[in-house]
Amino acid sequence: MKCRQEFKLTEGKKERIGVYVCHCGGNISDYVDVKKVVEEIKKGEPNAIIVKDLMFDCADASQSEMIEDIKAQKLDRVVVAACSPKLHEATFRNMAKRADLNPYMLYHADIREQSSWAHEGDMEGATSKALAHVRAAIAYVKSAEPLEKIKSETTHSVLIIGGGIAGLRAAIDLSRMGVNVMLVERSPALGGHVAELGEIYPYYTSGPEIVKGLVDELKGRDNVAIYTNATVMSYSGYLGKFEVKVKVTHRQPGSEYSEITLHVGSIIVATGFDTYRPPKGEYGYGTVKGVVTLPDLVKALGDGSKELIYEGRRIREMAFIYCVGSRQKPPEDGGHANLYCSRYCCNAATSQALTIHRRFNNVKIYHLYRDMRTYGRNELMYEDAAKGGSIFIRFDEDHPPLVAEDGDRCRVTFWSSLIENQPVDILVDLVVLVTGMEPRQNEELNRTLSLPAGSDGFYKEIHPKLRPVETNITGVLISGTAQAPRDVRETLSSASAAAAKAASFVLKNELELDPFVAFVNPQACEAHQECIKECPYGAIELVEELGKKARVTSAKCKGCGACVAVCPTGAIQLKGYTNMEIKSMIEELAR
Amino acid sequence: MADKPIKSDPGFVDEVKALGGINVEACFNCGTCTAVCPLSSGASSFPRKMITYTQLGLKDKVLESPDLWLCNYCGECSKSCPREAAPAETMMALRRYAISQYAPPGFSSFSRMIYRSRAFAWISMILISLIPLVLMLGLHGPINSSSVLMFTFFPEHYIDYIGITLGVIILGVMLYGLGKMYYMTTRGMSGFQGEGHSANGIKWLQEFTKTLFKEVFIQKRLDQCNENSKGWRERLNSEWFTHMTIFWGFIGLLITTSLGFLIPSAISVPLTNGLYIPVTEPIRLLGTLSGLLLVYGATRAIINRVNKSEIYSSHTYFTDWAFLVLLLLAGLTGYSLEIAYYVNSPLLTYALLTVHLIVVFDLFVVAPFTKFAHALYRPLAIWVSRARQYIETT
Ligand SMILES: Cc1cc2nc3c(=O)[nH]c(=O)nc-3n(C[C@H](O)[C@H](O)[C@H](O)COP(=O)(O)OP(=O)(O)OC[C@H]3O[C@@H](n4cnc5c(N)ncnc54)[C@H](O)[C@@H]3O)c2cc1C
Ligand code: SF4
Ligand code: SF4
Repeated sequence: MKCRQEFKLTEGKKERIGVYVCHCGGNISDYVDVKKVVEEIKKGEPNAIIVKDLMFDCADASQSEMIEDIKAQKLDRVVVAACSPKLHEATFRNMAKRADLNPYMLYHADIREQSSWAHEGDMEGATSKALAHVRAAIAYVKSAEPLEKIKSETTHSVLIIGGGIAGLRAAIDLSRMGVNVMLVERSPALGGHVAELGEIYPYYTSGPEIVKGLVDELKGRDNVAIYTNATVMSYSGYLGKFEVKVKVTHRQPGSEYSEITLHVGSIIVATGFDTYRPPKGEYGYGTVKGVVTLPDLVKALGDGSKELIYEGRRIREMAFIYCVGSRQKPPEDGGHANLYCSRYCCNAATSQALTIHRRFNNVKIYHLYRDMRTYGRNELMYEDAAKGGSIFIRFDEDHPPLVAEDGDRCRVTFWSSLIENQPVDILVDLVVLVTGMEPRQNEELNRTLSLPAGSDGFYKEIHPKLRPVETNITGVLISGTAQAPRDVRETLSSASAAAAKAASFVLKNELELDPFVAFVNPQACEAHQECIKECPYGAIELVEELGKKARVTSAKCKGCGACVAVCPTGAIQLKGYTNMEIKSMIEELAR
Repeated sequence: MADKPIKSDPGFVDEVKALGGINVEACFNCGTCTAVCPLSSGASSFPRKMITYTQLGLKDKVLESPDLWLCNYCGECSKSCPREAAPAETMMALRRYAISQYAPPGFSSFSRMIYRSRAFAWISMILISLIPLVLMLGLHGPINSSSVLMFTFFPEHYIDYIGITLGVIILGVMLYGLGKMYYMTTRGMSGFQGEGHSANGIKWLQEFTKTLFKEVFIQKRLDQCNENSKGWRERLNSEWFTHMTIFWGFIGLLITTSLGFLIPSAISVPLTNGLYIPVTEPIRLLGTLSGLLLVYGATRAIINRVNKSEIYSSHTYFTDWAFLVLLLLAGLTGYSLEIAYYVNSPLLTYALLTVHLIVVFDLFVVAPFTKFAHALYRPLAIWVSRARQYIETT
């Protein structure tokens, strides 16, 4: 680990600053008087050696011009006033690098989103705001320090927690890329839910066969270690260097269990989902004979028998009731289960109906649904099921069907707005509750990893579009149904995505991380330890050898700044956002 | 909103499929068909609703709805159905179902069988034809081969007896059907049965005459389906005109026959004597003209079906053909009979008379179960539906 911890102030030295104000076509110059900004800066800032306005700062020609200026004029600081730094900060930092200027001596001020776009029609206001931003940026670069990216060595191994199809798929992908894989599965067998399903869509392949295919592919690989009956007990470290303790329970008497320590560069969490268990009485579940859940049905269909018989009852008519445990109202409106759509269930139920139509003659199937969400290609299954003899009936959320016993059959009463809510009774032999997915009960693991979860309880990614498999613990990735309800196809693609992401971390010998991390000024630190308590990532520790001073592990620090706010002596600060830098910017803005 | 649940009959869908609702399960209740149907309205909304009833196994709801008969089978719905559920076919299948359900018990299963089995239909037609054939073979008088003595060959009062017996039976079947339909479509509607019934008497009568005039005499609804064909040429070729010729031809012949029976002197006396009746004689004239209309209409309709020029004729049933073909045959044998009579060809005349009477006999027997049935049920349905709307709005 190489990283700079000292901090120097560059007071008194004469800076040589370049300022480049962008028109962005007319995106900026329509409402910001770019020329005026340039004039004002020229007038008020003697250290600004070069102040220019350019049509497009990001254009190749503009970048070359900047590089020439930096070299010819010996500029040591640059301000680019243009679009949002989210868009082009990296572009301009690279430009600085090419001009042999430390990239962190460049500040990208946003005068488009913040000024011209935010104050359309107000030329004067937009211009003065842009000017203030540029001045603040100049104040920043004046107190800026050259920074280096943090480098960290990595272990070429990945730990996968959960041996369902997500875990298996990720393991295969990583192994093929030459990464060592350790797979920890809690139960005695691999495959998760899919191993227990019969025919599943698409193409009515058998679940155990899918699992067998994946497991067979893993078997021959010597860079894969699989631990079943195993759970994660504790973990420490950071991206590139995690240390994980795993408890493996043995079946043989004598040695109850053993503990092993794994060293990995990244972790993929693929712990899957639980199926929703209806409370007793929901649609007659547990109170009316013949009311079962979708997983029960799928298991029953797995036995390959010629006739559809459930618990001794021959099934001639049956009904599916959809959205059980999904898409419910919030509890304050009388709902008791989950608000979200479980996504797989409409498809799984229609697919099972198709299987039944194909395998058994004369089974009449009613589908009582709220909305059919057989999205994408699955729409064809919906159509095929209807053409194959399934009857689809929509019910309203406020008027759900009732299930009651009727002799040795079940009576389902429903209301359809298509026939003026005239209640209708159907007599069936089996009622299948199409139950949704729930976040897996995993308290122990959640305590160990403290991964963030969304309001629905599933593990949450940093950003669904920009960083879809990463969590805010760098190096810990999520995939499959641990993240959200998904079917097999979607689970597999997210597993491959997580594998690719993990490989991109661990296949490098050295990782480069942003330098914006906390650092401690040992002279000022009085070991109050407030920062240690506050840090959500456990990145700070008290080091006795240094004479009881706090120390930051840069690779663990996310640069959130929580510690900076609580330190009573101001000993801990953030690189790139030092108190000095921030203060000078505020002063400039407030001028 | 009725609160007592109705019990679904899970076998109903299959029954309707067997009766021609070939793809009724494919429907996903989008309502496109109802939206494009030129005849469906807010108050009587079809065909989607009828399909939903079918899917849900609510057969009584079907029988209680006059809407079934408001459809003209133009086929627009089937053309626009995204699921290719053929809603128009389901409407026709449900009609077949309703005809069989409105008919008196024995006839009910008979009609169900002719719809469901082509073989059964053919065999029954043959057996039915045997009745008049056997009667004629057994009862005919002397065969005079030198000159045509038609009613010596087969005495006219025999024809009357057979005709009256058959007529009474068929009339009975029809009245039973109409009565049952009236009962089913109006039960549960206040103002129809029970209280408030008579208070609206005058209004009923008004609606009734309006219906009779608009829907039966000039068949406005059918014209509505041909909105695009407004020129007189197109009109002559239209389904509406074909239908009008068949209808009025049929009515004309009905009147001729009834008058012939009621005023024997007008027609049968001269015939018995083998005397020539001038074509200008009013009743004869009516008969001849009506026959022409009928033959024209039936021919056109058959051509339409053969050409399948209209989407509606792409799925035809035995019972749809039977009525048209028998109509045409009745007309053709009738005219041939007259010609044979005038050219004084005795044996041919007797043979043609036999065939003609068999055809007419068959026509009457199957009438309540063929396409003809709508002539009974549709006007009643339109009237009931009008009256319903009237009740609902007042
Ligand atoms: C009844 C039913 C029918 C379905 N039908 C279909 C279908 O026809 N087509 C389709 O595409 N999808 C179907 N699905 C969905 C499919 O089952 C899922 O998409 C798939 O199982 C997701 O795989 P996964 O690996 O994410 O999760 P899981 O299958 O849940 O696997 C997770 C694994 O992680 C392990 N694990 C959990 N916690 C820990 C821990 N702390 N430590 C170690 N290991 C742990 C579990 O033991 C399990 O083996 C169906 C689901 C159900 C319930
Ligand atoms: S997939 Fe279908 S059954 Fe499942 S929650 Fe969504 S809408 Fe309901
Ligand atoms: S029959 Fe076709 S058009 Fe009519 S509701 Fe059904 S799917 Fe829609």
